[in-house]
Amino acid sequence: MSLRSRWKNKETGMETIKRFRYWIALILLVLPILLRGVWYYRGLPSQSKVLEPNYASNTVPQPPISTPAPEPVQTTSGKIVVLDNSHSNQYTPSEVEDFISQLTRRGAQVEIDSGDPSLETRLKYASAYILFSPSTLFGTDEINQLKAFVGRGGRLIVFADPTRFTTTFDSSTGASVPQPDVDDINPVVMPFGIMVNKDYLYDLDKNEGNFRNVYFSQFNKNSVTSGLSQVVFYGTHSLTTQGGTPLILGDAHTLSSNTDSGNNLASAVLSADGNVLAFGDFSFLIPPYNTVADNSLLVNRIADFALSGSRTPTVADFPYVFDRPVSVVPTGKLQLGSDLLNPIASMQKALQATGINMEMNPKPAANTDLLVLGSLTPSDDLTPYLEPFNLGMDDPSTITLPDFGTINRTGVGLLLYQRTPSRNILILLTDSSSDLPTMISSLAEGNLLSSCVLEGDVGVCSVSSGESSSFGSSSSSNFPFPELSSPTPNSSFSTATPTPGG
Amino acid sequence: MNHGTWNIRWEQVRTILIWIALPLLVGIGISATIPRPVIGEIYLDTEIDSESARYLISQIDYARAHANVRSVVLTLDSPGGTVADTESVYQELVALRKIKPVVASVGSMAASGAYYLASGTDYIIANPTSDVGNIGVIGYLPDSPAIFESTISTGPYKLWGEPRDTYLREMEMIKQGFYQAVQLGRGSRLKVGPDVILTGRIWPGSEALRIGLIDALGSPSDAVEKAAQLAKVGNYQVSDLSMDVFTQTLNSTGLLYQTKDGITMNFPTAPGLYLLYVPPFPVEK
Repeated sequence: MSLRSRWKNKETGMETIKRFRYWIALILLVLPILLRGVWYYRGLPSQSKVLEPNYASNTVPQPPISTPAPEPVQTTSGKIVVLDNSHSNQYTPSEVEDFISQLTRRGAQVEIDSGDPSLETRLKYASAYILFSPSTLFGTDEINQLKAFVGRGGRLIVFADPTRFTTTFDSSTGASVPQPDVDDINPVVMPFGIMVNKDYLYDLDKNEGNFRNVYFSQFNKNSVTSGLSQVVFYGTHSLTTQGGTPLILGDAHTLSSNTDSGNNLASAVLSADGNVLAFGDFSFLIPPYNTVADNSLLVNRIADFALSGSRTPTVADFPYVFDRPVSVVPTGKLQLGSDLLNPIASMQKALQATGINMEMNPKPAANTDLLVLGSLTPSDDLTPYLEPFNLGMDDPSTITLPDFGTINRTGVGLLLYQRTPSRNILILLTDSSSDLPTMISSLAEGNLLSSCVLEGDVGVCSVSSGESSSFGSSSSSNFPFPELSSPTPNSSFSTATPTPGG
Repeated sequence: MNHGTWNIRWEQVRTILIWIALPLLVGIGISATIPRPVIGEIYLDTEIDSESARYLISQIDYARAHANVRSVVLTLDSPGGTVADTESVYQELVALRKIKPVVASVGSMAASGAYYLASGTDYIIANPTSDVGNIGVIGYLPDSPAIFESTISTGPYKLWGEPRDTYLREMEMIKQGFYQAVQLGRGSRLKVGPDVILTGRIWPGSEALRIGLIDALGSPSDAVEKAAQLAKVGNYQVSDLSMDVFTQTLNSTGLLYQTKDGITMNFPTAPGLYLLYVPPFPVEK
């Protein structure tokens, strides 16, 4: 190619460059920008729709307050309700003042049991015994006394509460170890087929301001639940019962903290004999929670239950077996002498301590109760008092009693108690007139009953020391009878896990 | 070389300089002004109180105000804290999220209020054994109202704030807000309902993934990568935003109780409501 033609080609190239130089300049300008942009940025960030809570729509939940019209109540005078406060109970009587006022409104006398006099003594005259969240164990004797009390128709109401517990300090870890009330309550209620579970119930679905404040709208028919449509328990254990009746039940959303599951878990149950009522909570008795939903009505129903027991005093309840002034009635050949004066004076003191006056009056006035003294020998003035007991005294060496059979008279004293609307009669008989003062003294001092076999309103007692008593044809140095019997429901539980329906 | 040839060559060189080199240099110069994208890191490794909330909000504000911060990784290792401070940070976080992606990276714990914050992010990554959840409110009640001779006030709740029962009910209201935040933040990714969520449980990361409380198991660097992916950036720079915002150290506001020996306990000093996980004492039964 000649120089000329090469030069021409160069000129053409320059022309081409000139023609596209703007484009080339633009590309060269943009290219580094583009390269750097792409190096760093791979596209536009995708923007998700951001939704925020509508805080203004959230409200503070309010309790369903109810102000039920006061119901007329049936007044029952003379009934005594004992509130236990001798087992380091996790409550104060002032907390449950509304409940106490419902009891007193019904004519009941409420006593706070701080340990003196003993439980045994109080249960002799109480109509109902109410236990709140104890933190010490009941002794075997106390449990047996409660069993006997309930067996005689006394009402036992037990309140547990998962929010009430004591703590012990573990010095090695610095940790507080909770001691729930359940461990101290279960020995009391298990003889009646009831067990309080070591849990609490909760409802995340629908609750009264908090998951542990549970609405209950399912009730089994009973006087305690009569008229209730909804109650709220503020932290409650679940309860199970064998043979009894679950009274207040949760729904499918009411769960146990033990298993995070459950259906129809019970928060209140009634024992099979209908005399023991147990609740997993008592916050609902306490203001302001006692005014929520039908809680107030429930408090009324519990008060009714406490005072509607069929308990009547038996001979075992001495000295609380009289309602009126007592006339002492000697019968047969019994003569008041120096040997009887001391024992009768002791008896007078014992009765005075219970608010009952005693007077000597062979011909008792109306409106008095009687203390009849005599021997195991038929007499005209004694016979009318013995008719209800079918006591056979014809044999000079034995006596017969329907529930006891034939009993050797020697060293034996009889306690016979008859209760009627118009008069209560306590009869003390011994085979030997010399044993009668001993028997009266022993009874007045509270020692006799421990040496008696009691069956209903009849007691057969050993009243002379050193001599054995025998029953029927067999002889024995000890009474071959069991202790005072009382219903003891099957108390064995196979599991501590709350089960649906209790 | 004659004069004509020299002119031609100069003409060529000048053309190249003007139309090639100059635009290229200008282009390179302009491209240099394009900032390298930054993935901002915000750390929360204390409880949430007024001080730490202020600290977090400053960093969130910085991220919002600086275009080069293309997305944010919120690294959480916290048991939560006070209600109001948590809600403040949450709302700032949501405002940031409207313009830039935010990814939460859970260290050992994002409990209660810390999870509240996590629920306000686009994506949550946790370790398999991170503690996640504890959704709910905890309250420490003041004493029952009483009157004193030495401390006088003009009303029954001037000293106590409100009735004890009201604390409990307000707690429920705060819980509703918390649950809404989780529900709205997680949306269809949440695989369980309130009956599970509101138990207040703490789940390990792997279980939290199964129920949809988090989106993936991974490390903090995975969280950074995810933040870059959501922001659609590459060759980015990771920057601890606290370095850009704060120079002073955080002072404790005294949220948690301190013993006389100076030991900080796990529970708050003052009564009130908290979005806080308070671990229970070990108990020997």
